[in-house]
Amino acid sequence: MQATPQVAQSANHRSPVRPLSPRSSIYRWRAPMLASFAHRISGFVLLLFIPVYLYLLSALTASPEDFLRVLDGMHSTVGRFMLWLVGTALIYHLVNGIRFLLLDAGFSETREKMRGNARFSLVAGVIGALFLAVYLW
Amino acid sequence: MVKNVRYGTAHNGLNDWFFQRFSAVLIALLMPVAFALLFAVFDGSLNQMQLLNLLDSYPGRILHALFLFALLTHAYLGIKVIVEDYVHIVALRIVLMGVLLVIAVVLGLWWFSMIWAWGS
Repeated sequence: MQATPQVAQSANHRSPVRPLSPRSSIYRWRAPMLASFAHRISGFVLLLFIPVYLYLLSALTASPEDFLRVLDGMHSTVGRFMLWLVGTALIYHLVNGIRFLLLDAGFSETREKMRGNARFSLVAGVIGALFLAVYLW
Repeated sequence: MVKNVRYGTAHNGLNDWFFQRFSAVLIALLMPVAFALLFAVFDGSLNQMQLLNLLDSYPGRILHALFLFALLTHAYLGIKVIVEDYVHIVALRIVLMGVLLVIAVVLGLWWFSMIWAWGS
């Protein structure tokens, strides 16, 4: 059992305390780290959209008045912004998710390629956000 | 090969890892369809009758149900990863994941019943 300067020994466990995984404060800000972090953020945004999606689904399939009311809501500033936010999160999470699957499958594991395709994901997210903004407004 | 060694509180991460990726593939195929329908409604190219015809067809209902199971599974596993990384109090993790599981089941039942109730 070795005590490292950054990892404290916990009092109530006998096993050595492993470093907690995302030590965000000591990592350098690199594209792969940013891509991974943005994947979590966009995933969380999409999670929050699930109840909203259910509300939209229930109202859009209810009476014609409900349909029109929700359609008006979607066209309001708040509605458009929410659609833009979740749409952007979806585009990024999809592109970067495919990237993660390819990395899991063993493609492009060198450091340079990881940085390159992390940038690709981030740029795809930004371009997707711009296209979506043009479409929604 | 991966030996059956127990690591940490989850004991084995392979099942979670596999289901997260398996559900990801299903969602990657189905969620763009859901968003395309939503945006088609937004820009007026799909009216309510056309939307309902797509949603309450049998392929629509089955794909929608598949999508909901994959999405809730994926969301649960994704939040589990985040909670395990950032919540350092183990007891709190268990409570949080329990609450999330209940919410996921409630949303899933609501969603599932909605899908199969249309037109009846």
